[in-house]
Amino acid sequence: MKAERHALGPVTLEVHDGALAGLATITLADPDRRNTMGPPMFDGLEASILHLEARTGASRFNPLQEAPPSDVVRVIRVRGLGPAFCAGFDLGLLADDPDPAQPLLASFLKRLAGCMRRLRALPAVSVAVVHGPALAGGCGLVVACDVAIGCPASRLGYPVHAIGLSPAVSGVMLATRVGAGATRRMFESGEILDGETAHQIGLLQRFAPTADALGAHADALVAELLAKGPRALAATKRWLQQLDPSIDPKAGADALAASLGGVGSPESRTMLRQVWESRRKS
Amino acid sequence: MSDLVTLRNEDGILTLSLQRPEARNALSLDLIEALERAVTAVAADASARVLILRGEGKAFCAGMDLRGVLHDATRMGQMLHGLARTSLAIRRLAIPAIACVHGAAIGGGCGLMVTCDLAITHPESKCGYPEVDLGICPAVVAPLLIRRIGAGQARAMLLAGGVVSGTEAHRLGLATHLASERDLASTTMELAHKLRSGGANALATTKRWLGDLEPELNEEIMRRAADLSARIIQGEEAQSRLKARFDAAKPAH
Repeated sequence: MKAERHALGPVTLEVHDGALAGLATITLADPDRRNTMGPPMFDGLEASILHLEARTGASRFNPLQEAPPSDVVRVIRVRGLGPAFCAGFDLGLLADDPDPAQPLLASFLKRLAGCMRRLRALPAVSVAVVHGPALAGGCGLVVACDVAIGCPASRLGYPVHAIGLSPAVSGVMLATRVGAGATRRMFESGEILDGETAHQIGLLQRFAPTADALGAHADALVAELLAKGPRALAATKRWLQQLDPSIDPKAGADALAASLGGVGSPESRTMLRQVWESRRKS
Repeated sequence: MSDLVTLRNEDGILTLSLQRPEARNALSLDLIEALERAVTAVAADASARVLILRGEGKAFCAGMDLRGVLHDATRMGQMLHGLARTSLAIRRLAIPAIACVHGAAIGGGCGLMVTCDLAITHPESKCGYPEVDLGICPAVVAPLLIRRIGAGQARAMLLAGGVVSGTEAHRLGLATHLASERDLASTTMELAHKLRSGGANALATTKRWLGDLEPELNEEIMRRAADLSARIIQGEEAQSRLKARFDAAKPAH
């Protein structure tokens, strides 16, 4: 397998070779903006996922029949460059949208839902490496991955009621990770959980004792996954996909519709603008 | 009852013991068949109020015993389908089932652990699913594990899994209770007595209701799971990894 590197705007997609053959890395690489999600970030994520849909090979092999070809991507690492994993939607763009119907916000929610669904459905095993804040849509990306690894500096949560938004779009996948009770707690309180708490409730499944050790722990996890039986791994992922209620398109559509319900409301427009103004001043 | 399992009834508290200590209660076809018959007997026993499932010897259950059946697709299929049927039968008992897990619950053994309504273990035990390391697809376990810890959590456990300590198994929800190794048996018995003191009809109604909430956990899904697992084990990947594991475990001459 030959190494590849694709610069997709603020996202870098690498397909590794040598000892890491079988691994691809999606890096959110807009550190100055804390990897917030705006049109370029969504473009980059969608292009990465599209590329990986071809490279993970749902169309190229069936684990029921055969082992994956050697050039298939089996493990996907998702990480963020800079201080944050991903700080959620770009509020500046949303606050400045002059259209009262907020079409930009609607498109962000739809694109987030699409990225989460497609990421989760990839035939490879996905690992989110959460070194810092993963908020709102950023936390959505984390729960869409099969495994999340973090450290004490991880920060996860949905502080979005404060800007007049509903985090429902993440709800179905979050609930399969932490249960319905903890989902209510996180959604309604809007609290940002520290790494230890997120690990305790199962939002992070692996945990490095310090931020400095996270990279090495994540590398070890990736190596473990690459060493597993490729056919068994693909067959297991496919089976889990069939059993997972959060993959149900109707559940996903309902969750998205709930978040879209508030788009264009006076509450959403006013709160977004207020929060953004106060941030701009401070 | 065969020698491979024993079933004891003490005032409605039924203790079903796996009796293959020399193999850490690894699930051979004979053991699975004996277990299935015993569970059928439990279901038919009107005096039964609580079931405790335990293993004799050093470990609760070391998983499927694949030694000697690697090339026997028929036998392998019988084992997986037998385990799938037995799991569903335990799930559908009208009485609560407690897994008393000491030592280890690995692979199919950890499947039995999460099939029971309650599971108690001790901090030093080893629990988990190393299947994919060996090229095996833990398909039969998956529908049961999903109902214990959620589909998102089950992804991490089965795909990236491996074996964890009893303490971690408790944190993850594989075990519902934790006791010291010394107190494991007595704590399990206390739990059983507490469950027995509840109204038998109320408990049976509750179990039926909980069963009604998981209609997808049915014969068809368990059959498909067993077929899938059998198919992957017959592949070259699983065969070569398992052979290497067995060869490494053989004493050197």
